[in-house]
Amino acid sequence: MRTTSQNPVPSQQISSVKHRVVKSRWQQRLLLLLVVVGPGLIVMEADNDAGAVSTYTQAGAQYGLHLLWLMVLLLPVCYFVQEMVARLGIATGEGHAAMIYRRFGRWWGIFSLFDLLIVNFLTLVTEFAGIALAARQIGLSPIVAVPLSAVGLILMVLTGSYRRWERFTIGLCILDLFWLVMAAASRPSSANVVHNLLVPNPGPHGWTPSLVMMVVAIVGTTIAPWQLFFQQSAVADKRLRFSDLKNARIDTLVGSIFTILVAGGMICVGNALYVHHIPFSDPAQMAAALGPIYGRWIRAGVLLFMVNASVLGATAISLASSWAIAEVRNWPHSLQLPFNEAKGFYLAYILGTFAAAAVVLVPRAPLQLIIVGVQVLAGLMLPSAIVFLQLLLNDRELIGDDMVNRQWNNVVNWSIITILFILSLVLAVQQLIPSLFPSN
Amino acid sequence: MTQQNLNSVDFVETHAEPFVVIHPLDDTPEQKRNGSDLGLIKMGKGVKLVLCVLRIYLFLVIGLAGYRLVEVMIMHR
Repeated sequence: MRTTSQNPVPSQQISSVKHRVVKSRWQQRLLLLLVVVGPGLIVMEADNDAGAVSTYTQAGAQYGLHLLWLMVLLLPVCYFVQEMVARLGIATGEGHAAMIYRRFGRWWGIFSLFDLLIVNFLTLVTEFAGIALAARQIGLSPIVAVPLSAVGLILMVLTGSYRRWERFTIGLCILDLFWLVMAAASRPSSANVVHNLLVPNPGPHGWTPSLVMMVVAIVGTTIAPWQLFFQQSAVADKRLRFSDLKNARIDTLVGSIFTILVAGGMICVGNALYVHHIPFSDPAQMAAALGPIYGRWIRAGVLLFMVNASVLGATAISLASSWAIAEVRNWPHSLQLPFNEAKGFYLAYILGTFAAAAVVLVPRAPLQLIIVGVQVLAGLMLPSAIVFLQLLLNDRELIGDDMVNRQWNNVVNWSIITILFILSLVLAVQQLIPSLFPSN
Repeated sequence: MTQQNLNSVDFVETHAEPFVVIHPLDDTPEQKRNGSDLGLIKMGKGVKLVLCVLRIYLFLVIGLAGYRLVEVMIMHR
């Protein structure tokens, strides 16, 4: 292999590792991008989970298209937060939990880990609750659907191949584009969509307290604490290299755009209830209500893609937890490893999944209390996780001058963190002392 | 040979001189900066201030949660 460099690369050195040869630099760049794409896209789309389907469709059902502008504002927020995670993962080759433990000590390490595990477990319960809700509407008993989903989720990760899990999960992410088809089928006014995307406005009733809470809930849904842990661990598990940073940023940007588009699609589907003055109680009821108006396929689509959202959320959240436990406990932890070589890592995933599925099947399980718990704990978790992320990205001693935040990074990120602190506090206080907030 | 080394070389774009792509999982592992030999982060003024604000925030939210818990327990007594 001849090069223009003074130091040609001997082809026998390359042949020692599995590689693919392409004919042009353009093809090389494209293929390199394709092999790097995964963690950013998955973390973003998995965030459109059962809770997100519920929140976004409710936003559409209650406020029509009036909150679409918020999604546009959240696009750069998603990107800047997760770009930091990808950069830290590439620089350290380790997960977020391990880095907090190592650089901030045992107390902060244990606090972050336990808070993450509790909030993730409760969120996992809500994912299975979403599956149960959709299954019931389809006419399938939750006693069958929930354990089947749990087994499917476990089989997804037990292949001993990160690539296989990633390809399958990316396939599920791409299926979510169907929300855009359903949004188009619900025929929202194009002029209204464009206007509400570009002009921030609270709608005809102004800034009511319930609208403020909906905004806080949307922000809380779009940026969740587990995402920081998941993407950094996935980047480390995939062994992304320093030279992959540019492509990892593109992956994160594509993921951000993808998730915001799908979330916007969900708001548009919810808007169909707003237009027809149908009250909203949950996405499954929404599917039943939309069926007679737009056709049975919309009903089936909402229910099936609600299950898809739950499965995506469940696999990512369970993995975030098992990666975090294994990193802190120093257990082998990689989807590349077979079960026998990473028992602790896989058992954490399997036990968490089965336990969450079991909670949903308990008659009269306190699901409402669990949803409140998720929101309060996320309010605790997100600011602390994101603060550690920002501090680690300024840790010159750890990651070196080339990977630390630039000054503009810090200005943007501290602004985002301050806003997230305030919103998380508002959400936690609203859940804990609802009497402080008038209902309208 | 790693993808990073390959990228740093300016290849001639001809059919006879192909370009190589290596998947990260197939590549030789590279040296990371995970700080295993560094110990705890240096507690500069900025880090101390941020951690102090974080503690206040956490005390506030945990305090609120505790207050709510007591309130609910009293209501259900």
